[in-house]
Amino acid sequence: MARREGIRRGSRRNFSGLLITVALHGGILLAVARAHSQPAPPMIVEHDFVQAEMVKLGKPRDKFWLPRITQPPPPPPNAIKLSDDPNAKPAEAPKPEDNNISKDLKHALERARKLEALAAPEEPDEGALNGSKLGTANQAVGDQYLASIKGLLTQNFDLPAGIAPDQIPNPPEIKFHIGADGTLSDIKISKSSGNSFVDDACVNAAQKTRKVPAPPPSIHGIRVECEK
Amino acid sequence: MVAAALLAGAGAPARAEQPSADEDLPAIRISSSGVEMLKLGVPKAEGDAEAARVATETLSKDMDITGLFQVLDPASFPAQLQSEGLSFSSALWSQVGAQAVIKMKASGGVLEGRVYIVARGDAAVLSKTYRANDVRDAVHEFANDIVQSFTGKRGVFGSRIAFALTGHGPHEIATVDVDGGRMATVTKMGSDSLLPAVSPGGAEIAFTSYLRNNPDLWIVAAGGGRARRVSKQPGLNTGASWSPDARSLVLTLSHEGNSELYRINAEDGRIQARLTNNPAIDSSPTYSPDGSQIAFVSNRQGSPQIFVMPASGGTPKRVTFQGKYNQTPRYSPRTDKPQIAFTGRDERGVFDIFILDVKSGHVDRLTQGKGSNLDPAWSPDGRLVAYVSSRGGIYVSNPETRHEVQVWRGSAASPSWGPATRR
Repeated sequence: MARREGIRRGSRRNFSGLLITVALHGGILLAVARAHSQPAPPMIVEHDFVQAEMVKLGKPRDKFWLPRITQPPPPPPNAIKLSDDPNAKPAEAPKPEDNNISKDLKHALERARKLEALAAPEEPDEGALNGSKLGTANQAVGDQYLASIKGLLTQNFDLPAGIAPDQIPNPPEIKFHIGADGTLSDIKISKSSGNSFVDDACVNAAQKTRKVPAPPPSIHGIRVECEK
Repeated sequence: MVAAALLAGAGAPARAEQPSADEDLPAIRISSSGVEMLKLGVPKAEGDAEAARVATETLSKDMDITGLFQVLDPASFPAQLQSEGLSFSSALWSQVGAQAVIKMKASGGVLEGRVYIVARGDAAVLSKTYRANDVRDAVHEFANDIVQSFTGKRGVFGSRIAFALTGHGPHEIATVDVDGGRMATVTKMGSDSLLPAVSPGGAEIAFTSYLRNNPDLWIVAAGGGRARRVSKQPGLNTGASWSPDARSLVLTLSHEGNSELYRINAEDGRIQARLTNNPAIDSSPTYSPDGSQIAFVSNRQGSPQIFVMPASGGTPKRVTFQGKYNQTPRYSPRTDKPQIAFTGRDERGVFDIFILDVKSGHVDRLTQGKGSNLDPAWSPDGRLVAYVSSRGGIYVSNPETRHEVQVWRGSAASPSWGPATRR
């Protein structure tokens, strides 16, 4: 008797467990269905990128040494250009040196040689042991297209010398249109800095750039803020 | 029409199809890759032949010294541009690559100056007349106005640089225009004089002379005259720096046996306070522009390094940690940008000019690979630095563009740049 009581109590407990399970599953199914029927919240894609400095290959500089001015890598040498004109005359050969150089010139050459000797001798490049031979460069990851434009514009953005930061409290902003082939047009100041030289430098950055890689279909224009 | 920075999820309206507000344009921010020196044409001035020649030479040199302009070689100007007179044709000038052009006419103590910006058409952006007995004064004044019209801050022309003339014979104190013109010997001590320090108002120069067989501190009027002996403690009386109110001087004295820093009265040389007390050598003090701090050199931690302490004395804080031999600190007169220029010896044994940003501790190098360069002196506006070089003479460099110009060819030591004068 007592055993039958126990069984009945057990089956009642099983029944309530089943109910809870069914309710839970129903809830999940409902939630999933609801989620599918409603639009997802907007996803914010930030046009932001990480900048990676590529450093020169070499021995790291002792941190207790005074700094050195690092020079940008020299531009590639000019390739010899072939003339398109089949009748073009050959370039004139340089004239042989005049041996009768004047006293003044001799003096000047001697002075130049002395000055050259004063200059510090070339030393091996400094950098990081895992650096690159080409030296410092900016490499952007993230939005590849905007990063490439940023690189091009930055190369052409030079502020006039002598402009104090306190003279440009508000960095200027320009806007321009990018054509299907990447040509920039409608370059104009959308937010002035108050200093016309700084504004001009910002506009010039886009004007000098003239053309950028053909944009992806989603991009037709860009806003650029120029800061010191 | 325009890329939307906000991409909506599934089912969102196709916003990219509609012309949207400019705010939705993707935005990037660029910072300047460098500073650009404006290409400047300075054609030969009009007017009296000699005055015109001086005006052209002086203005070209002044513009070069600012380190803001690349002065174009007049040899590249076609005859048409040389004979244009005071008028201006932007189309022609843009062909020679000029971005701005300065025109002058000098005659009978009057200088007419005009500034044209090629991109802004044929009207002058600055047109002014100057009167002066010496055309150089008028040109320097015009140069200051030009700098102001481009940068918003006046130039420093009209100020003078004091230095020790270190040629043959005893070294005397001399002063020279910023462009190296009108050198004048200020002292006639007949005995070695060195380490000049121009007073804040520019009226006096403190210096050390061995006239009485001891390195005493003397003061002379900046225009020359009889020097008066201010501090004659036995031993060193050297490396004076004026307090901003010009009432006192901080210098190195060694009458108590060791080189320590003291503050003395600028009138009678009475000692007001001893500022350091350390068995090491303390020297080369320099006041911060607000007079609250003093930077100096000390070898108390081994090698000579720059330290900063409160002007009333107190515990010095070491501020240079790179290099093993840093000396001759000079506080920049700019209150908005605390900087100390100093001479440092690098790991190759070469002396060069460095600039310490006091707040961040970052050290920037001003000179490199051109002989040895030492003894920096800030211009009164803190935008240029003068120094002496083993290449000979005094050079001036703009730390922003690192463009340097030799302003004085003769032998010189320890320059001190006086204040800008307003006529």
